[in-house]
Amino acid sequence: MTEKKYDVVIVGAGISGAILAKTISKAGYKVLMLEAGLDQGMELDSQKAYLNYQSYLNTYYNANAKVPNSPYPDLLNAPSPNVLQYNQITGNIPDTSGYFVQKGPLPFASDYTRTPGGTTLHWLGTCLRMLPNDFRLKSAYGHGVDWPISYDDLKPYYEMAEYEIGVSANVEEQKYPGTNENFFGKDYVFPMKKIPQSYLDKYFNRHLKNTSIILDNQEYPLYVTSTPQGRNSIPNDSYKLSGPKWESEKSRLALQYSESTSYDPVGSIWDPYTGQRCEGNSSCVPICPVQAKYNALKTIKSANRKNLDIITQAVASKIEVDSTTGRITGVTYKKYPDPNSAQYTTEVARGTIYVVAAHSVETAKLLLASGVGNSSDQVGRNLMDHMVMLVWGLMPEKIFGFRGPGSSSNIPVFRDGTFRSQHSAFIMPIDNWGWNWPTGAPNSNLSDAVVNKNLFGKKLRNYINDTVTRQFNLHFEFEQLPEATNRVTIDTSYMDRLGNYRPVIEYNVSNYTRSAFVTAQDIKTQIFAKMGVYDFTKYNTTDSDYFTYENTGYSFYGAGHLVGTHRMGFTKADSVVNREQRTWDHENLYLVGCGNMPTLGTSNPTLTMAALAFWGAENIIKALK
Amino acid sequence: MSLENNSLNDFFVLSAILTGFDKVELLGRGVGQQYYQQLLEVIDNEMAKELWELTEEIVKDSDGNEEKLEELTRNQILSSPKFGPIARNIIQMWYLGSWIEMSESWATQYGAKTSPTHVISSETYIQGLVWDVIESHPQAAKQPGFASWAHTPNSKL
Repeated sequence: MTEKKYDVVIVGAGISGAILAKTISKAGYKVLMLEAGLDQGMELDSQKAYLNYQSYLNTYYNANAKVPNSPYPDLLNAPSPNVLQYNQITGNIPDTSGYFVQKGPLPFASDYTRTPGGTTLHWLGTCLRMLPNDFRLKSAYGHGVDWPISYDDLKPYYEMAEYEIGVSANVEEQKYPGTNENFFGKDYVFPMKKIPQSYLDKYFNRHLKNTSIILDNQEYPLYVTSTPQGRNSIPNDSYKLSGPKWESEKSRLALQYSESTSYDPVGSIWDPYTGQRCEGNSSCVPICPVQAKYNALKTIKSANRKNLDIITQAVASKIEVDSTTGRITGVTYKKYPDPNSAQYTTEVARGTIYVVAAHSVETAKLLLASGVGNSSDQVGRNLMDHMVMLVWGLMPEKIFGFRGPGSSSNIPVFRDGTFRSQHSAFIMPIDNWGWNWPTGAPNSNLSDAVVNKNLFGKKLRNYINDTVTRQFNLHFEFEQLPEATNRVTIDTSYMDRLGNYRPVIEYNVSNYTRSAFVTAQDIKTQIFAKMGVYDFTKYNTTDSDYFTYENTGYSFYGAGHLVGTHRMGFTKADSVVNREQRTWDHENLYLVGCGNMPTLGTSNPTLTMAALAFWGAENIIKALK
Repeated sequence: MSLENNSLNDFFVLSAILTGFDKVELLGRGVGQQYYQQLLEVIDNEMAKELWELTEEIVKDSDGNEEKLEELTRNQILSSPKFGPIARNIIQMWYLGSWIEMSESWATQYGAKTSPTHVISSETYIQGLVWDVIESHPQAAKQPGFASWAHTPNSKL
């Protein structure tokens, strides 16, 4: 491969890498992006892109277990974690059945996708901003750490992220605890109007009227809010922003305002007229057949492709550093021509500035493998996720689930509050797909009816119609605190077939979060009683993430919200990157991604990561000048 | 696809009885042939022939009486240690588009083969009856359109 030198070398073609590549290439600089996934996954134009995506869809249709990574190729040369391979960990014996080496005590429960476009291929698309107190958890509540930046600092970048992803929401409906009327910019609106709320959402809202929860002697009235999401809907005529563009004279990145601007939803990468609206495929996780849901390939496609080179099937294995100056001199990568073979050639990518945007776990892994950027000893540490506790049952009436986006509304009431001095905040998304997640419905119900209940013929039809249409599922997604002992490390005993490290994970959930499960169960009891729900929630001692707290058992799932592993901070003593997202240790090495987040809050982190990516791009362009 | 082939026709007749959908509705799915073929990969021609003869017999004996047909299906097929498990698999095939793995001991006892649980094809997944019965659509296919989820479904069941 050519040893051409670029202005910027980016490791990772997920949403962070894509935003960086687009922004920096459009500012006139030469960018190289390295991606571990397949060539054919990076096809951006018409027929090949269409055929590649159809192959994902076909794999999905034929998958026995339709888990988040099921449509996408599992590459032995660049493995992705698989939720089906998580097991309880007994004693000191690590579980090595999957890509992760899980040392426990609890198995880390989330996955991600190493493919062009990254995890945005399988994400749900929820786009919530973090709340102001999430950035100052230590000052406000005495737990965790403070960010070296505030919500207000990030606000303009959130607007850029909402433009780039294409977020649908009604701003006047977004009422969050701990915020005031200045939370959104003056006159700010979202690019598209909200995704219509589901029949179930509206049912919930009606029945929860005048319901309050008493917590810590405070009253919390319950209400349901539509969820902002990266999913195409009806464009908002009042939205007049485009860009973001690098404004050289002002040395900043900014959205462009014009009265004559109107927002055009971005459809599929193979055909702009496909996917202009959500069509109700009800399969967002793991795949949107029409690409009405945002994925990062759309951003890569709209980069300045004359200034952007992309090398796929290229797994970064080492960041090369000049030990005297501390400057990064290259990224060594293993280029494999054939995914079915472990054969590879070693190449080096060279640039002025280097960015690792390979997702929290992979970025940390690469830094550790290279012995780079870790004077703080924080690389790999502070791994966090949202613990997802599901509660499910039958409504007294049919609510017709299994339709629409995975979630179109949430109860935001406990995203912030004084209780955070005692236990985790949490968000409560309403799930539109019945018991699909906790029990594998409707398939599991059908098989149970046939095999255990001995139903057949019309009686079977009526039974399934009468019961499964009343299924609903409510999530409690809990914030986790940063802890040094929750970490990713590497070990030469655990390598993949290309000779790169597998992530070794130590993980647990503290009482700060566990005690919130107790509160959540109380809330569930009240809600179920109010709505007359027939409760079917069951946590099994054999669930991989089962734990007990105060003599009660709970299970959780991972939300896929992996953050914290190379966090931003005030000083180099306890953080990996500064507020510019530049590593403290290396002047020309930036890290961009959820790994930069010192706390998680209660929002899906992708929108925050995208905002940080725009800010990172701005800093990098400034550094290049 | 013609049903002049008696066995294929019997398969559809039995499938209609077991699933609670009319033969015509099942034909309209376009995947019956794939299910029939999947079945014959597990049970041999002799066992299949027995099953079709049994089907024809109970249809004849019930003589158009729904209740009688249900009773005979239960007694002769579903509770038969030989044919019960196969009949339950046929139901699941039509509803889910998947073949469910059957027990080793049943296969050994009745000279059948086993096949691991698998989706038979993309089309069978998409044509699964369970989605219709819950007034929805298969995930990632037959999308009902923007905002359809905001209202109750409008189906004739």
